[in-house]
Amino acid sequence: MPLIRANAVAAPAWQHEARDLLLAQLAGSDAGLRRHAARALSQDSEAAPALAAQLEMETDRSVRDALFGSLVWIGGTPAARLLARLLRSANAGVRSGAVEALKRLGDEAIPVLDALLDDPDPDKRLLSIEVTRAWPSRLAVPRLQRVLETDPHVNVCVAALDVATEVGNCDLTAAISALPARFPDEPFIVFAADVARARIQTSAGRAS
Amino acid sequence: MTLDVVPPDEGLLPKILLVDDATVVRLYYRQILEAEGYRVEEAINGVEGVEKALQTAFDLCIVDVNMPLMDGYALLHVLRGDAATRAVPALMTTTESAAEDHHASLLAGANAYLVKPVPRAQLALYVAAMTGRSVT
Amino acid sequence: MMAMVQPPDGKEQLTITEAEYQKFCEFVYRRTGISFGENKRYYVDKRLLERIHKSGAGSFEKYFDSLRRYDAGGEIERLINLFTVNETYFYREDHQLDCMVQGMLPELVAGRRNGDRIRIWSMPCSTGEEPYSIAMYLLENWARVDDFDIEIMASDIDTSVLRTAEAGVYDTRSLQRLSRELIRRYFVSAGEQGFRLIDAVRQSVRFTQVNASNALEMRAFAHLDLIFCRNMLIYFDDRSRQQTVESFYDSLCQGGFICLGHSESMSRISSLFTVRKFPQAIVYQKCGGPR
Repeated sequence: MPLIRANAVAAPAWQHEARDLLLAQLAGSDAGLRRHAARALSQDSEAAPALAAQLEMETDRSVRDALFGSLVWIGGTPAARLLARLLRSANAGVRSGAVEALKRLGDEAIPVLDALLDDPDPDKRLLSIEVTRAWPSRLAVPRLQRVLETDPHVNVCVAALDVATEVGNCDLTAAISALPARFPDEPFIVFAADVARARIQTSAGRAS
Repeated sequence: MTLDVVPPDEGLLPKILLVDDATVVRLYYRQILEAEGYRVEEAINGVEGVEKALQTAFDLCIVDVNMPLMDGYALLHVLRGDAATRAVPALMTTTESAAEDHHASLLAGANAYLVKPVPRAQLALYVAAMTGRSVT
Repeated sequence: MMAMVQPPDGKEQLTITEAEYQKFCEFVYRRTGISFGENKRYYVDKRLLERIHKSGAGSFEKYFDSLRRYDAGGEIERLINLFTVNETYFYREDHQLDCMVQGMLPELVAGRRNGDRIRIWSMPCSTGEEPYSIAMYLLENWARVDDFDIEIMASDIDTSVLRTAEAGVYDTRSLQRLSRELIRRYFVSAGEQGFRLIDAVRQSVRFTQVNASNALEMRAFAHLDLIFCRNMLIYFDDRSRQQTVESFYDSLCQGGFICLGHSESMSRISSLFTVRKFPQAIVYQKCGGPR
């Protein structure tokens, strides 16, 4: 899976001064300067914590966009960890933005994602599953299978079913079929499981 | 925009906009609502929700919270800020069960909220009530 | 009803099941916003089977897997090409040109003085029908066209179409939506080749080669009021689309507009823009944020 990140280049000394100025602009009152600073810091991995911190309080859409974009450019596990923390934001837009950014990190997000799927907070697990929609089936399916087999929370399993309708293969059939028994009071699970099962059926090897 | 109160056996059927990024959720609600006689359109995120709401006079918008590009709160904010959509009834669906999130839904401009997964009967009841259909 | 294709090597015939059709439609809807109506089953199946066969995938499952890959290698583009009509001609989607004159320009010039500049960019411009249509439509329909200094820029990645555009010679197919009166007013006969646009209009458009995914090249365009970007973004992958739209955002003035093609939507690309509904069209505006 291709990775979106800046080329690793040693930053000359003068760029550290620029960083201080950019960090100051990042926290300033001018949205235009904040957006400029956010994008200018896209090559600076040490600025990642500051970018993530600004996301917690940023109200301007275009600045938020630039902050997420730069975190994706910086990439790597540190950026993934910072994005994972943003899944707990009180702001739904920041949570969704973090999910989309984690998708764009591709392989680099895998260790962080696996940790998130074990998080005690069902809302974090739910959001994390959506990230696997961007993964190839061979990476997504084992995670989905584990969730479908063991996650105790119905909405988390619904999220896994939804991703499975697009990404799933027949490895998931057994887990999907067992879901209604795991959630006997949820008719929606029966419906969603039926849809997922129908969509993962393969036509390989079928005769006309 | 006025809310037309139209009994189901007369004239136009209420039009519902479903805004949710989950495929299975949109399928489920569509099945329920079409069986009840409603006309249904879909959007996958808040931006598409705004586009559709600006082009068609819906009788009700069912709006999820967690969606890419524009979440449900931001969508409501836009709808309530535009004269064309200010008064469209909005039912927010949320996976959050905490009370303060429910208050947030109402503060954002939703007329009601439901916690997912939404039972069929509850969805039908709320939609009927919010589109002015008599409930028997 | 299912479409069937007999591959030339005589292997078993492929069909698309109902579940596969729905899976495919949902995928296309998610990626592009395009919905196929219920009556499109045969139409979609036929083209889908064509691509499954031509791409060498051999089955729906393998083909769908390949579509889902981030580096789908232009397959999505090939697929969308089969579902969209790609011809260009004068006054195509002229409801947007109408929107320009009736809705967007009046807003843009409110508070501007006579003689101020208005900057319009057609990107991609292909063989020039779009930017020239903009020029003609303004001359024909905008009462205030003489009040302002209107700069029309046109760009494409392909230099051969740019050369064609600069030459300004078109056949009757390109002129199909123009009235005889308009043709008489803006074109002169070019014999067998068709019609050439009059110099006054030809010279009013500045053509340049630009690669939309190249942020550096895009930065040359600034302080724009209006961008027409029709039927280009739908063919880009997610990353290029986002980058290009960001460049467009940067190029626009505060309050500036961008118009996409009729089967395109910002809802699959970016939330940077405010959706604006005019009677003639839905367009996108840069508002409220930094310049």
